[in-house]
Amino acid sequence: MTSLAERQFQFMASLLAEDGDPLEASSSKFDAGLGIYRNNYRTTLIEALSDTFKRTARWIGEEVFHQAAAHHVIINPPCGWTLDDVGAGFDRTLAELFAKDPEVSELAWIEWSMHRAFGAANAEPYTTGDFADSTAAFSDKDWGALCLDFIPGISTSLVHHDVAAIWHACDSDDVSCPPYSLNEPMACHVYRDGEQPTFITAPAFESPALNAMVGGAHFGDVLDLLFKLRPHESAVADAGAMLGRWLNNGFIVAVRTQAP
Amino acid sequence: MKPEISAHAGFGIGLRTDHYSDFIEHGVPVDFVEVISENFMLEGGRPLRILEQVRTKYDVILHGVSMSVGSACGLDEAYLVRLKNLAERIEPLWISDHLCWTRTSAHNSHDLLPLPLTSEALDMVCRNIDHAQNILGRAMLFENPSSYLTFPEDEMTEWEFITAMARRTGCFLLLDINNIYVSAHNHGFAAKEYLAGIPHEQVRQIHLAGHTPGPIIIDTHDRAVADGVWSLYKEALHFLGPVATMIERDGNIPPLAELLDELDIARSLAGCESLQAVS
Ligand SMILES: [Fe+2]
Repeated sequence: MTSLAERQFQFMASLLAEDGDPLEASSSKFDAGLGIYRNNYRTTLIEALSDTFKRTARWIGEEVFHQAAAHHVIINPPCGWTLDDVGAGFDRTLAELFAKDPEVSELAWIEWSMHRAFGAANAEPYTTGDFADSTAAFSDKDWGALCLDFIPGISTSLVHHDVAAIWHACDSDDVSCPPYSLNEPMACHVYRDGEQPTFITAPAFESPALNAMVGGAHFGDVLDLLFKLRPHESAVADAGAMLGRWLNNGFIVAVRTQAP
Repeated sequence: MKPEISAHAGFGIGLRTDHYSDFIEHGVPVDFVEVISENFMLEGGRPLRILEQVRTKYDVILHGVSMSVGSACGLDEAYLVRLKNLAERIEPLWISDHLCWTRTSAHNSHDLLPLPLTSEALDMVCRNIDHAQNILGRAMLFENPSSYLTFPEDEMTEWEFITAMARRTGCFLLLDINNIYVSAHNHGFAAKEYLAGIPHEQVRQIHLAGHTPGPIIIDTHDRAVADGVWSLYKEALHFLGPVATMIERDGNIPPLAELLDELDIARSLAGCESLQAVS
């Protein structure tokens, strides 16, 4: 390791250190300068988190958010060139810090996923007409072999709270409400509608179904999953309704059949 | 041999989200805009669409903060490819970054960190600049950073370092007058000596920005250009002649008119007429 590389590792380590850890053999003038870099480093990262997680900050309060953000930055110092990645895993940090308020990490997951969707690649969604044309001649076997390509940046998770209500409560600055627990979990899909990131909630089975199909699973695999959960006919009807919702929300960009 | 970057004597400002609609919907009287490259190194979405729209009306400069030419671990190849793709899409007047380091092989500070002014650092910076210019297929501009500390191992002044860097790599210079002012105060050198000492023929752009005064001046870019920086700008023009000049504001973003008023001060110091707004 060259002395410059060593110097840079030491300097970086002192920026990342939780408390002031002055470099060896440095003057107090040097330390004063280093203190400014340490402060700039933290401020930049915490501001980036505040920017990405505006509603989470409003939900838990700015001061508490600041502490959580500082904690996240200490345990997850950034590695990549883009400041956009600083929020990666912040929902998990919040899940640990707010174990008794699990809606906090759900809200943060939505904001993070929206942030990812914001700069995702552009793609033209399939219309219902495109889909009808592509599948008009489908046999049962073709339906089983159906694979879908989705709009870039789409993601999904199960949520256990009425996240839409929490979202709106944050918008109206009315964050004094109860935690909006749901009796049954729901799927939450985050995507970009044109240029605007957004989210919708849907029946819970859609989350594993969407995850599976984003990962390349066939529609037949999703049907098999549903057959285990409900009677044959209602499974087929639910899967059809799901496809309809995905199309209407512009999730699908291409349709293929691929032998299982 | 990298293509020469032609001199450009215009006046511009940094494009910030608060002013997107001014630039797209109205004609803003500037000769160019500068954008932070990383904000547009995305796959798609609104920022890229806006930048492409802006590009149809204005010349654009890509100004980066993450190349880290001062890193002993070398450059991030994936970053260079993304920057090259953006440049091919936008066709900027030029691409610039800073004489600094931001990363080790393990972590990224997202801050412009100072380099020891040693021959070892100079060799490494030149290697990295050569590599970046080769990948991008063009010469770049590098900006003098402001700094808050110096290293005991320093072997030369910053202007000697920059002069050698430009001579060895053929890169051009983005001279931040505020940064010279800030570092001169913080480290006790004469700003005029700095201005006299750099290779004037390599300077293609000037930044003017505000700072926060104090025992150590902080380069905050969140207020108007200080009087002392205007005086130094005038000195710089004496050495440089006409050179592309812009106001760089990153915090407390005021209405566009306020920045355009500051740009008019620059124009008048340079002996240039104000442009009329066109719509
Ligand atoms: Fe600058």
